[in-house]
Amino acid sequence: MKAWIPGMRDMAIDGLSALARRPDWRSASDGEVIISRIQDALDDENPVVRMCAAQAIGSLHPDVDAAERVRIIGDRLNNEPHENVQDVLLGVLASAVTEAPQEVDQVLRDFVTESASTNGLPETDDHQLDLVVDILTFLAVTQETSFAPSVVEQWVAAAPRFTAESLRAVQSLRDYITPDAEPDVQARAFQLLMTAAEAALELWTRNPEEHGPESRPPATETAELEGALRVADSIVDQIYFASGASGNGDDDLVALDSTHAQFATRAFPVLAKCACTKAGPVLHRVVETLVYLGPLDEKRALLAIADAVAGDYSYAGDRLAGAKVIPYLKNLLANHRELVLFDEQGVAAFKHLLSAFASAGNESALEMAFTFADVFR
Amino acid sequence: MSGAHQWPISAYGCNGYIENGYGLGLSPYTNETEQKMLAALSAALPDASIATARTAVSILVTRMHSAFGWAALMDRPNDPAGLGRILLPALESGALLAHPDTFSRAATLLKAVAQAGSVSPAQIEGAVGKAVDLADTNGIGDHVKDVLVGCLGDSDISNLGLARHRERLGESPPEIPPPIPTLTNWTPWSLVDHLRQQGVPMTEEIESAARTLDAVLREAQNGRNTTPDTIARLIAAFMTASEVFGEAEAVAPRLQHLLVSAARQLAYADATNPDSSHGLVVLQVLNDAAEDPDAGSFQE
Repeated sequence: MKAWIPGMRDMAIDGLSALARRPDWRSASDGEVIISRIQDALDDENPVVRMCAAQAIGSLHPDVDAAERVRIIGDRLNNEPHENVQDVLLGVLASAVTEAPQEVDQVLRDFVTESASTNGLPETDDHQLDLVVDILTFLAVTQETSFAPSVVEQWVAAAPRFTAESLRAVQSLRDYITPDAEPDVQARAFQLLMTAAEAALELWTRNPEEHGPESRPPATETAELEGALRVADSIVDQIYFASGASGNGDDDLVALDSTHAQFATRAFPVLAKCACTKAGPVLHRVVETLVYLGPLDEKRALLAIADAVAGDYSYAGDRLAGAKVIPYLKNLLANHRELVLFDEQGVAAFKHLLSAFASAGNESALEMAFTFADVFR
Repeated sequence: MSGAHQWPISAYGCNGYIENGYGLGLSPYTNETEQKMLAALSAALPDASIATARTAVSILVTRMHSAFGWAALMDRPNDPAGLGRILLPALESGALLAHPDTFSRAATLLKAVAQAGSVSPAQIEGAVGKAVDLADTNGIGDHVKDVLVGCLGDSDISNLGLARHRERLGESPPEIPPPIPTLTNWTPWSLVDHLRQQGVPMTEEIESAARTLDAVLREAQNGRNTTPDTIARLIAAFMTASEVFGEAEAVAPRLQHLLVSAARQLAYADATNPDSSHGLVVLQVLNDAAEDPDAGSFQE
C-alpha cells in the first residue's frame, strides 16, 4: 500500500465512514445523510477519498444478504483502478468470506483473471498479493470452492513462476495444519504443502552441476533456484512452528498430545521431501521437528532423521546440527536402548548418524563411538 | 555496581565516587533549585574558613555522586583560583578533570590555580597525571587528555610521560572547550508555533484553543494514550475550538484542518454517539468538510 497525505475531504469521509460502520449512527435520524455521503464518496474522483469511503462499503446495505453484499463489493472491486482502494475492498471482502464463500470465490476469479499476468499476480503491491492469496488459500482448504483450490494448486505446483504466490500460500497454510485443525482441512493443507515441496525439490535437483562451487548459472536460473529453496525453507518452517516445537516463547516445548499423532503422520513425508534438498537450514529445521515429534514413535523419527542426514555429511559438520543431534542420540541410548541396541533398523540408523557426526569431527560423537565400539562392532 | 568505581574521588581523607555521565551538559531548566544552591556554595567556599571549607568539600566528596552537581558547583565561579585551591585535593583525584560532564569546568579551575602560582607545580602535575590515567582507563578520547596536559606550563614538567605529551602539543595546546551547552532540553513544536512563524494572524482565544486541541489530538493519536480521560479532554478541546473558530471572522485553513482531524478522531470513539452533545458537532464538522475541494494524495 502506498502512503498518502490526507486532505480535508478524505479526512471527513474517513470520519463519516467510521460513523457509517456503527449501527447506532446508521439508525439515527442522520443515518441516511451519512450513508448518502459515503455512497457519493465511493465515486469521488480522488482515490484517497474513495479509499476512505470503501472501508464502510460493507455497512451500506444492511438489508441485503451476504451473497448480494459480496457481489456489490465485487462490482466495485473489479471496476476500481487504484491499488490502495482495491486493497481496502479486498479487506472488506475477506470479512465476508465465511458468510458467502462461493460469491467471494467468484469475485476473486474475476479479479485474478483481470489483474494477473502469465507470471501471476502483480508484485507491485505485496500487501494486495498477500490479501488475495490468504483469502484464496482459506477458500481452497476450508470451503473447496470452484476457483480457489485450482489456482492455489497451480501456484504451489509451479513455484518458479509463482514464487511470491507460492511463498505466501505456504505461509498461510500454517494456520490449517496445526495439530488441532479439522482433519479434512489439515489433510488438504498438507497435500498443498507436499505439492509445493515436490515442485521446489524438482527444480532444485534438476541439474546437480548447478550446485557445484564452480557453477555460475545465469541470473534467471539462480533466481529460480533461490525461489525453490525459499519455498522448501518456508514449508519446513511452517511445519516446525505449527507442531509446537518452537515452544511457547519461554523455551518450554508444547507438550505432545493425541492430536499430534495425525499431524506427525502427515508432516513426516513432507519433511522428508524437503530434506532431500540437503540445504543446511532446511535440513536443520527438519531435524528439529523430527526430534520434537520423536516421542510419538521413536523408531519412525530415528529412521527419518537418519534418512534426512544421509547422503550429505556437510550438515553433520555444523555446530548447530551437533548441538541438536548428539543430545538426541544420548537420550535414545539412555531411554530407548531396545531401539538403538537391538532393533536391526534402529541400530543401523543410530550407527549411521553416529558415524556421520564422528566423521565430521564432532568430539561428542567420537567419544560415543569409542565408548560403544564393542557394542556396534 | 560491584568492585571499584569508575570515577573515584577523594579529598581530606574522605572517599567517594562520581556516577557515569555522557557529557550532555548542564541544563538551565532542570534542577534549578539545586543549581542555585550549588552556585551559592561555590561563591561562599573561597571566603570560608579553612576548616569550614574542608568540611564542606569532605561532605561533597562523600555524598555527592552526581556529575551534574559537581558541574554546577564549578560552573562560572566568581573566583576560579580561590575555588580551585579549595577543591584542589578533589581535583587531584583525577575524576573531576577527566569525567565528560565535569572536565572543562574542572580544567578551568586547575588552570586558574596553576596560573595563580599559589600551589606547587607537582600538585598540578599530579592532578593531570591522575586524570590522564583515569581517562585512559575509562576510554576517554585524546582531546580531553591534550586539553588537560595543555594546562601545564611548557617547561619544568618532572613527569617524563607528561613532559613528552606536552612537548607533542607544541606552543599552541588546545584551549579548554567551553562547557557543552544543554542538549537535553526541548519543547514540543506545535502546529500553532508553525503558523505563528509563518505570520498567520490569530487572536489569543484562537491560539489558545488551537494549541490545546493540537496537543490533546496528538496525545489521542498516539494509540498508547487513548484512555477515556484523553477522549474526554479531546471532546472538551474540540467543542471549545469549534465554538471559538465558529465565532471568528476568519480562521486559517490549517486550523480548519486541525478541527476536521479532531472530528475524525472522535468519530472512532465510543463516546461519540448520536445522543451525545458533541456527536452532532462532530457530524456537522465532517459533513461540512466532505464537500471541501481539498483532498489528499498518494505518495508515489
